[in-house]
Formats: sequence, structure tokens, C-alpha cells
Amino acid sequence: MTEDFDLSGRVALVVGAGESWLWALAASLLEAGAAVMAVKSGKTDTSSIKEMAKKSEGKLQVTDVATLDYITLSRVVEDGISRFGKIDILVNSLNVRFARPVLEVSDVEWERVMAVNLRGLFDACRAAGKHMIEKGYGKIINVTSCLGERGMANSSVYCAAAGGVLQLTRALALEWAKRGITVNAIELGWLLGQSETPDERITRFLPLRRYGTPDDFTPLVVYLASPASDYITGQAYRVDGGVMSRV
Amino acid sequence: MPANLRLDGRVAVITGGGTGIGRAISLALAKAGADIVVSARRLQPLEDVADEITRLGRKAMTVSCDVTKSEEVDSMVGRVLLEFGHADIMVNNAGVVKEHEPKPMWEITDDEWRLGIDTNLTSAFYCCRALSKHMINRKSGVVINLASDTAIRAMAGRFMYTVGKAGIINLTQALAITWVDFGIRVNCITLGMFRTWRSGEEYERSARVIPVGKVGEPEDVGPMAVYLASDASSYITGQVFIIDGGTLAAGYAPSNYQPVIPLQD
Repeated sequence: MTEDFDLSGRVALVVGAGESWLWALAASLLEAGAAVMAVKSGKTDTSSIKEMAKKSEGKLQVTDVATLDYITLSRVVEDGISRFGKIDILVNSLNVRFARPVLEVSDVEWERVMAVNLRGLFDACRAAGKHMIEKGYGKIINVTSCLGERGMANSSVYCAAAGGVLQLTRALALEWAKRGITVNAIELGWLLGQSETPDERITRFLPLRRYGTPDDFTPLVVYLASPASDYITGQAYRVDGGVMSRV
Repeated sequence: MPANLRLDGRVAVITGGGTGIGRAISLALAKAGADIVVSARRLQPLEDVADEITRLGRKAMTVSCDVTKSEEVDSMVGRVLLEFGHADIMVNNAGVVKEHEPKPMWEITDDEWRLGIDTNLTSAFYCCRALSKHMINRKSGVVINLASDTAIRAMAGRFMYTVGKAGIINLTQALAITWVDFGIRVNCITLGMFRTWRSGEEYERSARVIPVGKVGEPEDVGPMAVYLASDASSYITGQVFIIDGGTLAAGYAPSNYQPVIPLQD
């Protein structure tokens, strides 16, 4: 790894919910040299990341929050600043998965997916962005799904939220372009969830013939978090095993 | 038909107009009132289409033309202008090359590459170039280019088709902004799998992976061509109109994949 990708002296806030790959994101940012505040909401098991925090000599802090609203996330940001002095990097991985025929979707389900995947991400950007604007530097990376650009049956709610994340990324990138803040997205293809087994139909459909792993996209997160990517903003890069290139 | 969709008094040139998509577009434009020039290499299918157009009460002209040869394209345009005095609509439809079965890249010869690009891309450039002065002088004209889903997302092993059709989309945009001040509009119709020259069995296989469950019929393209050729679309230029039964909207999962995932978090 060249020094371009070095995050020594940087502080990263990683906000996760649902299938967030929080552990892998925190590990890769730590490995690149950053101090990491990992925040998660919801039921996702965080025992492995808490183990990692114990061994991190204070460089990784894990926080559970009840909700992902602006006030809560602003407190998290303040907490991060008082502990680490600043926040340079925000990684959002808000990925509550949900699929159901549209006529069977309840209001509660729609609200929940939107509240986390889209609204939670918006509030995290606002809370961290306020501090980043004051400092004149920031890197925001929104981890979302290729379903932000493509349809799939039973996936209307999830697709709508992911599409919203992509457009939010582009709009925010322009709004903060002169503030020294870059805002980019990573669209993930098929990654195997923690309690999932590979579906043969999916594997055959993927040009690379395998599901992705967190190791397939965390290097791109590090790149977009580092000064090596300072000229890149408003972009959505895909880590998809080729699926978006095929018909 | 609303008046601004009518094409009365217009002259449309359709390359590859004798069969399949080109034939369907020719007949649709004729029904909307345009006089039609159909061109292709083989004359017989053109004569059949010309008969149908004449029966619709419109003028029809057939021109044998290999659109990969610029002198033949120039000569075709010369003949059209001599016959009608003007040309209003250029439909660049020729160029679905029946590419060889996919083979290793190192076995594709220079000639095969050039023929593929010439047929799929250069032909449209030649036709637009041949009509450009005429359309610019009249400050009026419509160009409709035909591309394919493979221009937007690749198919394995179809290099010249994929690359040539991708070029068609960018040619569309380049011409649209180049001619935007001259009253000439340039748009692109991009097609998924349509029933043309393949065998029925191939279409049945394809239909299974198309969201709407069937391949397109040539007649599905006609109304879009009429719309883009007419004044009803006068504010539209440089755009790509996909007609593909949902193919490009999908593509993240196998067809008929319908997951159900309850909220867990």
C-alpha cells in the first residue's frame, strides 16, 4: 500500500445498521491507520467488533445507539471529537434488507427501511458534515446497493431507498464541493449476508461466478477515505462481480 | 392521430428498410403520412415494402445501397433529393450484422472488425454526413438512429456489435448538440431482443429472461419512430429511447427471482 492510502492521523466515523459489514469496515480503516468510531443501531451482533476494540489500544470505539436521528448522531459526532479531536471520514453503511411484494408492504415496513437506509444516512451526513464544513475537510462514503440503479421483484422499498442514497450522494457532493468535502457512494452487488448460504441461481448469474466478500470493497472505502481520492466527488462506484455490465 | 404526430408531406429515408424493424418503421411512417425511401442491399424485399406503402396511398422509392460504402450512400441521397426535392427524416436502421458465433478474440481478423464497425456504426455516419448540408441549409430535419441494449450493457463475444452500437449512442448525442441550432433533432431508439432473423426457438429461449416474458415484435418500434419523427417530439434531442420489455431495468438477479426478506432489524 502506498502512502496515498495511508489514513494515519485521520479519524473515521462508521455508522452501520442492518447488514452493514461494520466489523470489516472498522478493521480496514484501522489497518490503514485511522482511529475509528463505530456506531451501530439495531440488532446486528457486534461481539466481534467489541473484541477488536479491546485490542485496539483506544483507536477503536464502539457505540450502540437506539435511533439514527440527527440529535443522536450529533451527540455521537461531539463524542468523537472530544475523544479523537476531529472527524475526517464518515462511512455510512445503513443497510436494512427487506423484500416483499409491494401490495403486502406495511406502512411500518416502509417507514423502517426509509428511516434507516435513507433518512439515517441523511442525518449522519448532516451531523458529521456540519463539523467537516467548519474544518474545511471531509470524506463521506455512502455504502449502498446496485439496486439503487436497477429493479428487482419484491424490492421496491429497498430500491427506492438505495436510489435515494445515490441521488443524495450526488446532490450533497455538489453542495459541499467547495467546502473541501468529497461525497461518494459504493454500490455493492451480491454479498453473502452473515446467516445466508449461497444461492446457486445467483452464483450462476454473476459474471465472476461468486458472491462478493467485505474484502472486495473495503479497499475502495479506504481509497475514497484517503487524500488520494481528493479529486473524486459525486461518484458511485460499483463492486458487483460484473453483474451490472451484463444484460 | 393527433395532428402534430402526422408526417404528411415529409420524406423519410430508412436504411435496411426491406425487412424486420426497418420494414415496420417504414410502414408506420407511411401510415402517419410520410413518403418513404427504403434502401437495402437486396432489392426484392424493398419492392415488397414499396408495394405496401403504395397501397397506403404514399409515394415509395427503393434504392439498392450498401451503406458501408460512402459513394453508394452519397449516390442514394442524390437520387432521393432528385426525386423528392427534399428529405426530412433519416432513419439509420441498417446494420444489425449477423456476427459470427463468439470466438476467441485472437481469431477475429482485421477485416471482420472493420466490417462489423462499418456496418453497425460507420454506415450511420455516412448517411448523416450525406444529408447534413441539405438539412442544415433547410434548417430542418430529424435523424433517428437504431441501437441495441448491447450498446449499454455488453454481451459476451459480440465485440463489433456492442462497440458499434455504443458508438451510435454517442454519435446521436454528438450530432444532437452539433446541430441543435439548425433545427435538426437527433435521437436514438435502443432495442432489446426483437423477432427478426433468428429462429423461433432462439426467441423462445430469450423470452424466458425478458421481464415481460416475450420478445419484441417489429411493430412495437413503429409508434416510437413516428413520435420521434414528428413535431410532437420537437423539444427532444440527443436522447435514448429504450424499448426492451424491461430488460435493462432488470439484470441484477435472474429472471423470476422474487425474494421475500422480512424486516429483521
